[in-house]
Amino acid sequence: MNRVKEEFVPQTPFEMESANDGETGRLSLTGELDIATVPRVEQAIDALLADGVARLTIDLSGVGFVDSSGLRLCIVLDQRATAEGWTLALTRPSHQALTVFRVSGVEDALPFVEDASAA
Amino acid sequence: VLIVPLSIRERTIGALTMVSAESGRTFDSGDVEFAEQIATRAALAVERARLYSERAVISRTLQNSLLPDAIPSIPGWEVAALYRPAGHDSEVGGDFYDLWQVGDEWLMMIGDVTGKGVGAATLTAVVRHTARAASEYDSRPASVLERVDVALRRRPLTSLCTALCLRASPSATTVAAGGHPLPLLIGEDGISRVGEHGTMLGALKRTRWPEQEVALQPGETLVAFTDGVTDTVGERGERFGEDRLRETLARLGDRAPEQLCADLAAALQEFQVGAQADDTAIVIMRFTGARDAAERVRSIPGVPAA
Repeated sequence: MNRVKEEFVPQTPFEMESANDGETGRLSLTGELDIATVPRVEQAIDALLADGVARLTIDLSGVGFVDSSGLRLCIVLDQRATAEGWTLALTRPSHQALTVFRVSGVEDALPFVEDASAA
Repeated sequence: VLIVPLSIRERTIGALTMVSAESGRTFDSGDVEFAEQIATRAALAVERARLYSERAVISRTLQNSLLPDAIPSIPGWEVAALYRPAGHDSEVGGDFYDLWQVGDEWLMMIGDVTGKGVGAATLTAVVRHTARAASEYDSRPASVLERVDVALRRRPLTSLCTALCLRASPSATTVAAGGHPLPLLIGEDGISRVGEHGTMLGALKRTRWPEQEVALQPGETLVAFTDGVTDTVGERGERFGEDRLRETLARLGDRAPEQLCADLAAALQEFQVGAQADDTAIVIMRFTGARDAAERVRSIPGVPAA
């Protein structure tokens, strides 16, 4: 009945590292943040937040492509952080991947920092 | 005769009847228990099948309600549109387009709302109806986008949408984009982007939607699309991208909108590997200039979803 499972949806290159020192959760993403990989990132974020971190830093510096799903993830996280009272910091992705934030007019509104380790 | 009800929670959806014939065997309490167990399993299976088909029907109905029944004939224009939902029967996609008339002007909107399923369908309905209603009061594309943005930001959950709004009035064509890819113009001097980038809808308090007037010569064509087109993934993981879209349009450019839509879809299909990851919507509008000859503009039927 479920055709979805049989269909081959191409997996874009993607790796994720998650770290948690009790206070700050860090997520380093490498590859492409898109409709195929966003659900995995959401899961990892939920796990970090469930552990009660007060800060969440997402390092996008190794991300070469962001699609609208990735963009939406960042906007939703930013609004969620404000509503739930934790701090979000994002490091900018590569120039090409940053385009989607620029054309959407949301780059200035998101909490981008220059360096993930300083966040 | 042994009859047991097919029940799902307190509700009876049918009955299972067993008849003993020539053998003369009579049913005992063990048989009743056995029959009841079969009935429980059968009832569950029937219910699941019913729910699944109900869901598929709801999705199709919703999906169809989100696109215009047919592409209207617009004086001075030839229009064709295409919608390719990603994946499967029972999920509604987030891409949409709409074309409607306000006085002697026509408006076109193409967009992409967050998410999939019933949530996306509800959001699409909000966007479309807000845009249509808003255009009755002020049909400037930037103003339509602004009203949609306000409607989305009033919703309790973060509701995001990208949209491109185009107004074709008898004297001018104007576009504004809200976080949406800019349309391409197939003109006499090649292919160029038109419009300026504006803020995604539903996202921010600080917004801007610059409008641009497009001077079109008869025979020139505007191609509006959602990011499902440019984000399509090819064999080596590369994206279809805007450059390839431009090359494809340059190669196909002279064809009528309906044919161009079909050929572009075929080019995407050929490029893509595996199943389509995201919805795709395309609206192609060729300016014919024959504004006073509405009867000569052929009506092009809408492309049914899936």
